Amino acid sequence: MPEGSRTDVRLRNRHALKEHLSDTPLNAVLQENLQMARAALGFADDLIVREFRLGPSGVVTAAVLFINGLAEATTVDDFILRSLTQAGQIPAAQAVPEAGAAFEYLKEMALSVAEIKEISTIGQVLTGILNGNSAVLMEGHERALLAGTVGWKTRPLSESPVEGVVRGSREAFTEDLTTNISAVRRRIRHSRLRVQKLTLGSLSETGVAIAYMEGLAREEILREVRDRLARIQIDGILESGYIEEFIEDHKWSPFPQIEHTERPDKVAAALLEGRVAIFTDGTPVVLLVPVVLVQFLQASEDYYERYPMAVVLRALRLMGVFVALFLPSLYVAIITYHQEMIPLGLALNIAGSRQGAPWPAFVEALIMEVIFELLREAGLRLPRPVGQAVSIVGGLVIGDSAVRAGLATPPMVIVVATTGIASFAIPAFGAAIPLRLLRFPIMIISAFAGLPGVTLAGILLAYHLASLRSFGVPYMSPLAPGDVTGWKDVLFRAPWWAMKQRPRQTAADTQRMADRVVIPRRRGNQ
Amino acid sequence: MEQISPLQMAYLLVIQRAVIMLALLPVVTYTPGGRDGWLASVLGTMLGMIPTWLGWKVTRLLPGQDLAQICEACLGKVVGKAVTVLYLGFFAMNAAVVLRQFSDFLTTAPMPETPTEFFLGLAALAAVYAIRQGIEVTARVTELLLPPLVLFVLAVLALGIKDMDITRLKPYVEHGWGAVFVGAATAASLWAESLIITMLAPLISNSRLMLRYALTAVLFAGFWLTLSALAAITFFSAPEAQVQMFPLYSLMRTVSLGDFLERMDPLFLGAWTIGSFIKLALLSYVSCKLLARILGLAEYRSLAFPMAFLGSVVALQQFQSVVSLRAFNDPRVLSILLLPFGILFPVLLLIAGRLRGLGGIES
Repeated sequence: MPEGSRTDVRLRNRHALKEHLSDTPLNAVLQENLQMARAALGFADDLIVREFRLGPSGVVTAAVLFINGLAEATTVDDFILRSLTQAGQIPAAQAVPEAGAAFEYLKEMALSVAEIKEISTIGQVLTGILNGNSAVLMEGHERALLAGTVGWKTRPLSESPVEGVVRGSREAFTEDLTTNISAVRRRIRHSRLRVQKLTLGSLSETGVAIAYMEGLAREEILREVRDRLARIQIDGILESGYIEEFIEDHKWSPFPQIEHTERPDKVAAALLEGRVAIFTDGTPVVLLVPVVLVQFLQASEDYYERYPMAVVLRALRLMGVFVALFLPSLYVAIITYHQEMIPLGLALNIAGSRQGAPWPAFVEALIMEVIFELLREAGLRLPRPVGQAVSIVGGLVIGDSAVRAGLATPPMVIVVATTGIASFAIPAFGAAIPLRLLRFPIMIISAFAGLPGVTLAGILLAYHLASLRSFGVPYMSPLAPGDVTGWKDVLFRAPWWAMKQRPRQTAADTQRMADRVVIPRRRGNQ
Repeated sequence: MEQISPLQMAYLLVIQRAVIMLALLPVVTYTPGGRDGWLASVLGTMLGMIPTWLGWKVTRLLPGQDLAQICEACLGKVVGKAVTVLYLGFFAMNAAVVLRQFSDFLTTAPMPETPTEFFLGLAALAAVYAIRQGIEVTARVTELLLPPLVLFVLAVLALGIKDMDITRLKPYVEHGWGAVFVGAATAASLWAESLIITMLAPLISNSRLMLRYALTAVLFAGFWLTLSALAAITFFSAPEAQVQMFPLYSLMRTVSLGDFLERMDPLFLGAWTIGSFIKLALLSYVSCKLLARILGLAEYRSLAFPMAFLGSVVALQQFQSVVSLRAFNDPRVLSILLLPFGILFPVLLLIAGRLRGLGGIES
């Protein structure tokens, strides 16, 4: 049999199974339903089917289905089994169980679980129990009840190791969708906070939620988010990164066009600016759209500390970006082509240390940068205690001996180390990645074309950045296209009472506070 | 549909005119005696408003249409196309000159051992990318880079103040007002290039502000230029400033602040690269757009590569060296060459347009 047709058959089978699951109505015969459910799950060992009898005389047979570990056993015990199996419970069942009577009684009076849903197909039963609920099926009924018993183990809300702050909330998201949404709801207790859930991934059936502020988020951005999410077709979504790559505007750009964060307060702040948050079950990382470049240089602490600090810090970070991107190339270009530009004392110094250098500056820079990236990668992957050793061996021993052996020159070590440190100054880890990557092509250009080449590369980079959009919002706004009201929160941060407007490019309603806010002034001593 | 704001248009005009003129300071070079170059710059700026104003008038003939369409509507199919082709030649030649100037400067000053062809090719390829991104992106890049560039040039000029001697400006009008006017005409004729606004007009979001912003741009560029001319003359004295190939570049090499801030020419290099490149991108964009109109194409982007290639060939073949480029740029010749494009054709278009009853309605 040719390969192609076999795949076809398998596809058709899988398709058929899916159809079968979602549409087959429940049977009136309990045993047949149970059999179908067991077969659909491949007689899985973690499927628990507990059959029992209802009523004083036990005329009605029923069963509870749940998956061990997804549903909490104590909840099932206390609120389903105990309340159903207690003697003398179902008056209607003492007679011949009329269609519906026992069922309604169960639904409305007997089951003491908060979340109850009535379902009628075997597919819904399966989806329900795979999401941690328990299904209650009864003999003689073509309907079933789904009780919310979700109780899998989750990590508690804990401090984020990636986005730490000195001042501000310590809380970071967990892997659980509901917990994450509640963390944001706790910060914005207004009815205008809207959450919409959907399921993505044909096999993983991952829960995804869109959150936004009604009336603040721009309608066209919301529509775009929904459209793009709806177009995703993939079998599984294990991290928000899967979604990010599907919904971003420019697939080939190295620059991230979607912000990610683990901090509930950051999500809340974004929602208040009219942006849209996308939560993904199974990951603490929440996506925020749209985003502009300057937002990657803003840390949440900028907004919590008093404003003068933010001014200085943002200038520093901006400098960090330039250094991370251009310092090695500038060094290579100047050493190779424009030695006369270095002040005399420094030039002599550098020339002295480059005396016995075995290779040209460009090759040296390339090797050193690659080794640095290698060290960083190794340090990240190794178990923490060993990571220490790598940094000592890699950074200190190799660095020092390389200089002593004359394989590397001290100025180059300084340049590479500064570049590395500078790239860490950018608060968003993801935003530093393109800088780390682009450093290498710019270095190559600088080796061939000197300073003019570096400048030209810079201009092309500006062109690229200016051409990007994130969900329709120009990536370089509010700098270009310019919007003066937005500048209050770009290179510096204005005091909170002075930022009366929300960012115009994201918010539908831009008024953050009344235009005339009374600022308490100190009165003279009386 | 691409869209640019009036402010972005003004930025484009400033960067397109100012940076090259800053580097070469033609007002100083071509004003006889050179000492009254700053006066020529002031006068030239005033005169330079004429082509800009004419260009705006032309766009009002048919709001929402660009130069090629207006030419055809006013002058008929054959003559209109012919004038459009001439304008295409004007802008494309200009682009080629910028390309050549750019690479020549880089190979004379900072990288003497690199062949001109290398930077020429590099810039042309980069320009292809820029053209394909569209004018909107070019406008944004300008918006991003022009303000720091202006600040930097002014700051360096300020650093040179201690070596400037105001008495070097005397005697005023040494060679008579005729000489001043020669220099002013030079500066003004170069403003013929502001006719690019006739190509940008349909894209401008708030066209009512267009004239105001365009004239402000001319004024600002003129102010900038006058300051630089003053700085060059008072810093070097007129005879010396006149023989300098790039007077401001030399000025920046000499300027220093204490012991720690010296050799600021790399920054000039950056300013020059940015200014030239954006001008190149702008002129190439306009050329591609015009060619697309002439050929009746809906898309101009596919023309970017052939245009850049042709431009590089022209830039390489037309001028043997920096000297022949300078000879071509000699405004005594150039201003006569530019006159039809800055004054004659616009006036012709306006008359023809009026005769056809265009431009009566203000939108």
